[in-house]
Amino acid sequence: MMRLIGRTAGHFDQVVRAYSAELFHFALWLCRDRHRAEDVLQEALTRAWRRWGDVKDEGARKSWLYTIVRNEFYREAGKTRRNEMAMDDELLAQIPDERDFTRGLEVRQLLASLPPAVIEPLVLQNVGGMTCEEVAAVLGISVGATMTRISRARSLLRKNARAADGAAPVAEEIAK
Amino acid sequence: MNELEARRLLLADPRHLSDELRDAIAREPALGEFRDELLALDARAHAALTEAPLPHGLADRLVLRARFGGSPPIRLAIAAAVAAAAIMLPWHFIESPSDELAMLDHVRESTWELGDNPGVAPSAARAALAQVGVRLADSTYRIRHLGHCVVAGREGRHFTIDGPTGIVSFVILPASKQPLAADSLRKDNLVAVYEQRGGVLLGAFSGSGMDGAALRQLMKGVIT
Repeated sequence: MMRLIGRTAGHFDQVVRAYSAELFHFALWLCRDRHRAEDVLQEALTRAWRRWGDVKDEGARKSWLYTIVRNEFYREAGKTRRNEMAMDDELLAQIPDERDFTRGLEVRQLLASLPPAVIEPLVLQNVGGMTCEEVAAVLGISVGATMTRISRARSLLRKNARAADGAAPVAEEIAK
Repeated sequence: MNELEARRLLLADPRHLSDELRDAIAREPALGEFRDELLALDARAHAALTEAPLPHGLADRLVLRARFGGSPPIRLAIAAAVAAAAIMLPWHFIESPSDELAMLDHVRESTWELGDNPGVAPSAARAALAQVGVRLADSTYRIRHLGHCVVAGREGRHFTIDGPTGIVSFVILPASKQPLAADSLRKDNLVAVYEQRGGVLLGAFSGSGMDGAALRQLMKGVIT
């Protein structure tokens, strides 16, 4: 029994050390506050430790941790997950593609200027290095919907970045 | 797969490519350029999203609090005792000269740690310090910072508290076989007192006006 606990603890330590940096950056993006991000991450990992044995497929461990961090953020923020996920694709498509005020902005500012629900899948893919399937697992939506959201978020970011860089506008048909 | 379809798939994920998409990129150079542009944009986004420096000792704190923060005292005590026994054993075979001075210099050079103040739960600090063989007393002083440190080539622990006159730093190292060279030191306004207990060397440091006697008294009250 002690050996089993020791093995589990060792594995937990190893996984936390491997993913703590990217999970912190994801939490920081969600919270926009360092101390709050660390609190959210701490609480999430405490919950993860209690249910460490629930994950049978180690390949799903990272997505599982991201899901717990994300849930902890929404729980702590007093928001329901359903409310946060209410950004449907129609609404997404109505967001203006070109914004003159983005001219001269850094990518960091462009990211901050976009609604979190719009770019969350892109942030998960970017920070966590996830595939669309893994992002879909974290968000609890289909792979197709995930691909659509990421495509539109990246397209929007690209257009704004090009506008900010003073480059020529991109072809419209891609984003539609 | 036509070019428009390929572009849509690249917009969804320019990094993980299917064989079919790879073939399409190989056939059409414009797709390769499009992918390169998206990867460059992703790199800029990644840099922006991860530019914030990590809190010092983040992984250690996460592990300690997750595993021991909410545990009943008996489990915590057992875990701490097992960890301390495992870590203490090899320390008896390590030697290091000028430990006191090295500890003092470490504190003088680690000025940023004085500003680091996320706050540390006493239970987490207790578990971390138990790993190096010392017990944190039930004092009322708030712990500001806790982290690993490497001093004189040996790994120890470093923590700071809000002391009676300002920030007080503590460094705990595995003791060498050498007897204590100095039980107190002073450099500029930094006062240091030392004590060797069993297998560990303790140091307390104050730059906020505490004299050696008061600092030694505080050390006895904080680390038992």
